[in-house]
Amino acid sequence: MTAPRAASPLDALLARLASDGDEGVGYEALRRRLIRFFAVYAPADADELADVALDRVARRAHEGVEIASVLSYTLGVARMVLHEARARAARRRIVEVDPTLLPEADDGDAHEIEVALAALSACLDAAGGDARGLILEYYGADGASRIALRQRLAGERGISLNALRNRALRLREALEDCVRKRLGRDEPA
Amino acid sequence: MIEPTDESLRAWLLGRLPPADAEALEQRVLGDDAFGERLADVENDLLDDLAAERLAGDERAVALARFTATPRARLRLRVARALVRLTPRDAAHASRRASRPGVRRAHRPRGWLAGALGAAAAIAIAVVGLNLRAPIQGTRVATITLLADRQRGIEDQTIAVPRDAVSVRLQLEVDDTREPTRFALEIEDAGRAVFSTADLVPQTAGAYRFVEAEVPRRVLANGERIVRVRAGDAFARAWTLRIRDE
Repeated sequence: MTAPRAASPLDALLARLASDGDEGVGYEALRRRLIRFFAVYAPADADELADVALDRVARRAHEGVEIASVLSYTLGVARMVLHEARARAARRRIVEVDPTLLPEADDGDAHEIEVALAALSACLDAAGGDARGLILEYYGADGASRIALRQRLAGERGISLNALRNRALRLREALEDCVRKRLGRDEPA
Repeated sequence: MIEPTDESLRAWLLGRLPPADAEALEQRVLGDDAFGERLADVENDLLDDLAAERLAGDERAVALARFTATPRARLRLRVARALVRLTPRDAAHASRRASRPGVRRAHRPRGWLAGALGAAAAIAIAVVGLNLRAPIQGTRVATITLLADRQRGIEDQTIAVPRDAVSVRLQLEVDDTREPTRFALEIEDAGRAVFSTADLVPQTAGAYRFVEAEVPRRVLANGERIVRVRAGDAFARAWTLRIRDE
């Protein structure tokens, strides 16, 4: 007796992911990893390309294609999607350039930096002493001294380097989000 | 599986990794969340290096493209530039950047700006035509100042660049042009361009007008280099330097 067909490609994909049980990867985790993949090569379009890749995998699952390994299959689809995106970019005329290749003008405007500095200072104050100290120390070194500093910070806190890295990443994301909200609130429209 | 280094992850982000190596990393990022977080950490370090102006040439151009590609990326770069101003390690670097035109001066002008303001120091610079300063403590950035009267022929004096300098700040005297303009810098090694940058804004210190750019140490390694600065058809000047590692 064959299983009833899933109602939609998304349902088919979710069912396929669920069939791997605890060893498998969830939909959101898969999407997050795809975004990271595309962000390496096409940061401006990473989210969109990740959704294109997921849609294709979902359609194949809905069509009944047997997917032995979701991750391997998805990687193959992602590489194809990336190849197609690059081909489209190459076909565009020079005046219509892929935004990942031609950035907007950036001259490090002094006023913008000052405004961001004020917002950042306020956000660091709101984050509290330990978070503030961690951010300023973790991201304060450069070059070869970075790893030694971070290992020292991890040792002082009695945690692994991985755990420290994760904490710093989350703090930085929260900081950037805080600054984004403050800049949206304080800057003229 | 050999664990990739931070350098190889950075090379991947900058599009410099051989395809076979990149394919292996693609598998990792799809299959391993912890690896993805490590990649995000390396990307943050690249962002901070861009914000602190520790990148140059093609590396800087590629990184700038990445971190100005979306509104979110531009915000991240803006935050990173502000963070540079707050981290104690980069206080000296931030003060140098603050001395550029268009940026509010938060600190007293340094380097040959201060030297040019002092008569005795200015004379010494003019006679030698070259000023090499050891890295300022904590920064590992050496400074070479080249004046107009140093451009003729190959100099007998060899320039010893400190080995522990990670970069060299070149300050190059330029003439006053009629129209406001920007300058381009190129460094050649045996007829081949090994470094280039553009959009350099001229600065003044007393009677001297100059542009400056920070160059990776490896560009000014042992050997002879030709340093050229130009502003379209309006201005061009070149210096020949013989460099040795100290």
